[in-house]
Amino acid sequence: MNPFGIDSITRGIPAFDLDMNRIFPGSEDGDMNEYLAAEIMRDMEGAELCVDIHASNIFLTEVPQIRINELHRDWLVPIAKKSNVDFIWVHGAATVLESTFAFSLNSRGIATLVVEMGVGMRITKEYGDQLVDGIFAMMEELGIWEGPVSEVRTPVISYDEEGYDVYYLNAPVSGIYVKDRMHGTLVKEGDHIGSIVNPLTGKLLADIKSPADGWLFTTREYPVVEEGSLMGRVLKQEVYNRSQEGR
Amino acid sequence: MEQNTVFEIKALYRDDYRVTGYTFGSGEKSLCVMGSMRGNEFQQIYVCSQLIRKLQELEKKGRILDGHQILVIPCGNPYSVNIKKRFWSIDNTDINRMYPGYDLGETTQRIAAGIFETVKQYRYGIQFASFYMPGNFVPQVRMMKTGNENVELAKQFGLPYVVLHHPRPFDTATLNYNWQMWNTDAFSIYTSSTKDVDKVSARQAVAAILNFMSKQEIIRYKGYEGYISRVVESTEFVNVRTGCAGFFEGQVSVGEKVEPGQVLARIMDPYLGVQKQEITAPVEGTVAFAHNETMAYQNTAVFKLIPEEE
Repeated sequence: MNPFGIDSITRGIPAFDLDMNRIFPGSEDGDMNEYLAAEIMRDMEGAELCVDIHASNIFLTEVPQIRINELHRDWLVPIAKKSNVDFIWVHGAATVLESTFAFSLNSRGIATLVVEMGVGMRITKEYGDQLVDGIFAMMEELGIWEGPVSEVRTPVISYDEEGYDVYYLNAPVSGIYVKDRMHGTLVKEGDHIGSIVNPLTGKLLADIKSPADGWLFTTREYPVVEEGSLMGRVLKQEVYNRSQEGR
Repeated sequence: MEQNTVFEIKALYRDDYRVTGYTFGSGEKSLCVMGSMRGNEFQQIYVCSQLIRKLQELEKKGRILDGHQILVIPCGNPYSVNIKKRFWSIDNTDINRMYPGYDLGETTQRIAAGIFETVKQYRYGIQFASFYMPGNFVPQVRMMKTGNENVELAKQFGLPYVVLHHPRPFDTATLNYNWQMWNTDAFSIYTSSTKDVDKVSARQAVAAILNFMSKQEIIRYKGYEGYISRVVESTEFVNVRTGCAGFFEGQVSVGEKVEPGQVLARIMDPYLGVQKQEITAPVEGTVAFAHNETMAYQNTAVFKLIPEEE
């Protein structure tokens, strides 16, 4: 949806201030990118399912996951279970997310699943193939596809009703982050995840440890961190375990 | 006047990130002015510098009334100003889309939280804002329609227009919106420009704020009363769009009254040098916004007109 951006290695639409995924449903009266968004919405009318595929950003690597706004969970989680992703994360409703492509489509009755997987600006073939299998499985479920489908995996699901299922690891200081654990691994409380070092002296500035037992589903890829930069996310072990019981 | 650090982050590669504020008077936290939050908002920084200069003079003459404190923060994002980048240097996020912030969150969330912790304490909040579309504005006060807006107060700036804007979802993370949610009477002031310093509209903005403070009995000041503001909803604006892309040759300025059919701009073929489109006014009105870049895209609103009242 952003050929300008692909062509210029730009995340947003070049020369426009607003993130393209924060201007939906768009407007015919606005700037070119808002007009574009409005036309995309028009193109999507009548669709039964939309899979909005993202690959994180250049900073973070994600296990293949689907993120669902809690407002739409009852409707979307059953479909998402067929998508062959590793993780479904039902998150709280935030007003700013109402400007996204997915929210706008869901609000118009077009089931839309937001996929995050891998890391930005790189192809992770394994994840792409995994999702393709999931898309065919979902199409079979919807009666669109009658050909062969692969068996899909049972995802870990977090409903996060209290907002405490996920621990966020934010950098306490600025520096260079050296990752020592891969995304998708299980960690124990206190396990070493990575280090922040001073790039000029090599001195260790912070030893990043897991705050709890759990599943490290997001890890940082881009090594330059500032105070506050997100370095990872850990899903609580008990939430992960609940999903394993269902497998 | 006192200079203090509103928020700070220790840095490794350059000087620490510091948001600097200047306070005048003491007592009730009466009025806060926030200048730029983006790296290309030079006009916003300039207006604050002129306001600070004026407040220093008033303070020396004892004209800041007892029991009132004023805070001016010229720049909320010096890091981006220093590298001539509009948004945050590493991840391109917009501080003015992170409010009210989160002190344990990502970097720009922490910055927003740090700034907001101070500014939310003030009774009146004024932000010098810039629009996401490149262009010039007729000086105006903008407020979001949250149910907390105070139109009569907004008129006391004496600017030509008070514009009421229905917030879209991405507006709910702005300083103006959150100020209102936290019971600060909040106003966004738009002067004519952003990247260029326009001294005429800067003087107008400074006068407007001084007028406002005088009417709220924060300072003792007698200046030009300004305009009787016309209140307009942003939905009333008439957008004039391009039908094609090319070199943009504007023919009118902001603030100018135009007649139906009047030529507002020409779009020129950048290779052949011939006119591709003549953009004309669809209604009688005042030019509230005018595109100001050399090129214009197709299907882009390049003018916004405030139609004449019937």
